[in-house]
Amino acid sequence: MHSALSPNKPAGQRLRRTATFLRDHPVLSASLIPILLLIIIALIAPLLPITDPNRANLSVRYLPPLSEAYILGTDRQGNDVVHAERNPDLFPSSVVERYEPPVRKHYVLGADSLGRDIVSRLIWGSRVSLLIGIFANVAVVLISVFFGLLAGYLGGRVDGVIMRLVDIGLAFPGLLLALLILTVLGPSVINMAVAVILSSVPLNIRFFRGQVLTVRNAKYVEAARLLGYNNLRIMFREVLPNVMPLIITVTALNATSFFIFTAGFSLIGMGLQPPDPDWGTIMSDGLRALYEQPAVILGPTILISILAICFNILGDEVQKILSPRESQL
Amino acid sequence: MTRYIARRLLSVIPLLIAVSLIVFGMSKALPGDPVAIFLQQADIANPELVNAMRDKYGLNDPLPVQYWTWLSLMFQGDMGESIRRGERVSDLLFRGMRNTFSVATASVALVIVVGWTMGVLSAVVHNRAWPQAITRFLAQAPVLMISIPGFAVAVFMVLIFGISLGWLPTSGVSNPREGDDVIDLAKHLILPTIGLALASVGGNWRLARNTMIEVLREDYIRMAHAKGLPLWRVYFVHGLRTTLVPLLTSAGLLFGSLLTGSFILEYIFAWPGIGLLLVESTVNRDVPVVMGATILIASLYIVLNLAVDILYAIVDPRVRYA
Repeated sequence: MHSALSPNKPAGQRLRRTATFLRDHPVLSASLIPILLLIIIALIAPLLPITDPNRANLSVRYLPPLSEAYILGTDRQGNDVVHAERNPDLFPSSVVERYEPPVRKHYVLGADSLGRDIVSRLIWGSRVSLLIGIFANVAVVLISVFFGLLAGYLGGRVDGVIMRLVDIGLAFPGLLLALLILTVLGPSVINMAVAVILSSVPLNIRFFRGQVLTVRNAKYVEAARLLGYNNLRIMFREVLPNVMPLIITVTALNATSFFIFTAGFSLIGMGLQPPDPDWGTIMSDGLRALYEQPAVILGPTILISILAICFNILGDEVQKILSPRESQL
Repeated sequence: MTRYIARRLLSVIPLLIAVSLIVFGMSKALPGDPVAIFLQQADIANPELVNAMRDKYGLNDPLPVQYWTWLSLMFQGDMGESIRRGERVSDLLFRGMRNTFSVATASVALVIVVGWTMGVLSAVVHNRAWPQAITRFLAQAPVLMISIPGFAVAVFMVLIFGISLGWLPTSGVSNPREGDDVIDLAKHLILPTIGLALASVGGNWRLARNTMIEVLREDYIRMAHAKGLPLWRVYFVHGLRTTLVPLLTSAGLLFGSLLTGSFILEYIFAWPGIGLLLVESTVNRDVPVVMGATILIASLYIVLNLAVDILYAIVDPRVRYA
């Protein structure tokens, strides 16, 4: 599996190898498409022709999906005044500058309780999930690999101290530790990232430590020791590269749970605070409007499901490539 | 064996102390003076009264004294009173645990009935060279179940069965108009149970299938076939018995993890379990309830893990010396 990613090759050759790799693993490639699509859309959100996700227009409250409304003009702040009807006389007081004729505006997924465009909120909301999914993942992997290496390779007292701390972290099941941290720090995006990182680090440290333990007594590590290399060099030059491939699987699995965590925290009101959009706040809005407009909650739920399935498949496929024997069944 | 158990039991004590210190520290790190907030809500702003109340609740004592008082009261079953609800925390926790227990039990039952049955059947089908479409479906369906997050399943089911079709209630434990009816409770249980259990149904389905396929390759199964035993006897008596060992472990672990409550699902279904209690108290800053619920969930989790470890050591002697 190193062939496609190995450095020191001309760029063209590397690209061709990557293409071959992707063609040989169609399931893996298919699961990558929605993930990459989401990343691209989230990155270029400011360039997309979508409305301000926080712009409320009460006249289009709970507009059903695939319907359209009309921009009658702009108000004093320069914001669009949208109305479900075409008639410009409906909003005479707030409209400062009228459009003649009114501009048609499409609501592909409808509008929420304040008449905000759901498509726009979903796209802007994906940035929060993405930020935490990437930022927290990088942090978790760096921290866990470092402490996993220390504990697994050095053993002894260092291992004892690290693993006792890990045990304490693992004494809180699931999201409990994250919830406690958020309670103390208060709800916000950064705090949510901190909570997610701190609560998933213990499990990851234990995992990487276990992997280091399996490599630790290998012949090549012993050889490096006999050559008189110091511990730091052995840890980072001999042990680490052999644990590296697992990081892909772990990252994919982490990403799934981080998406679910962040959405869940925002849903229960401990994450992002309204009116800022993320998938959890949209779900929380939709949960209150199940009867009026069930479409509101459907969008984020479907997106999260698709991503979770893709990340799971990605993790499974990478696992299969790494250890073909274990996945025979 | 006794030494191993003693060692494991002793290792739990520092863990419980650490958890209690974290929870206590958290309650002290929270911004805002609870007494001042409480009096503010009652529209009384009097510094002397605040101080008197702080004295009364021991909030002016040094921190170690406060910690000790809190801990010793907790061992006597007194976790204080909820600030928002005016009820004893222990009563609230008991009620929450009861509701979480009922949905956890229903989930494990669903996992056993559907997950195990489908898993064993897919292993039998795998062995009998049925049409590939069926075999592949039986192998892939559990993967899909595992991948979809529980709360997404919950939302889809609420929309379909609760709102479009109107067959099932979507929130709470009972319909107040119908009183404490068993059938009514069962109806309220259906959707939360499926939402909570679906991923585990998939997991156990896959586990049962893989274990059974392995088991059916064993020599003693070939021996049973050679003896001319009827097929059902080979599969469901000889094969199933060995398959059940890992399945029972997995069901036990599952029950333990479900008892600690899933707060996102309980929130979606407004199911008044321990998870929802914790979420509502967190959002309302009801500190005594948050402390009590956290301590309860974490201790329960630690004790269950300990029980699993000891059971493993009894079953597999190698664990004892690791």
